Amino acid sequence: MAPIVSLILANLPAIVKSGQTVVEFVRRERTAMTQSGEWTDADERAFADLLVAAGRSPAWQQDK
Amino acid sequence: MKFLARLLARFVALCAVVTFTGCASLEPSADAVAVRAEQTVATAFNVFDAFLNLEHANRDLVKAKAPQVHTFAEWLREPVPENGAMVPRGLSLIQSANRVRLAYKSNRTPDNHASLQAALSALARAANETQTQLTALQTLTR
Repeated sequence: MAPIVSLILANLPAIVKSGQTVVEFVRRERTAMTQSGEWTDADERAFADLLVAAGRSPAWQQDK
Repeated sequence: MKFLARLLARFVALCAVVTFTGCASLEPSADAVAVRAEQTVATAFNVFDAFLNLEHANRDLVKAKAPQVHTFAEWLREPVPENGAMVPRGLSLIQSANRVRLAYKSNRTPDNHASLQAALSALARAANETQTQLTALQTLTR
């Protein structure tokens, strides 16, 4: 079974419950699915930087 | 009847999405387990980040109209210990799975594979719940 199909099936309860997330869910997943090889060192660094930036973002901080 | 029509519409949408969505074929040198793990941590981050940013942008509305969504967002933001520092729980979940992923990439043993599957399952559960909350939030802010 294609990965995207098994991914959708695994998430089907949440997708059906929400009613509008099938396309959004797949659109988000599709970006990741177009990956054809393992991350390079640069990809690893970019992801690590993304996590550091998120940790500093106000959106990730609890209410004062 | 209305329910059946909506169900049918969703099924058709699902079929269309599945039919027209392809997956990139892996390079011969790529390890499918490693690639899938990278996709999982990246997708989990995207879902957490999208949810927290949307909730943050509408914080007053969410607190007033959907306090349970705000409570979940605060749970994701709650600082927890991670490698000697305090970081938001959402990031801790990702960093924790990421460490296991990197351990697998450097030493692809059956034990590390099993640990990776467990870590990714836990992360996927949190991402699925966040996706549900994100959907509720999108409905509220639409």
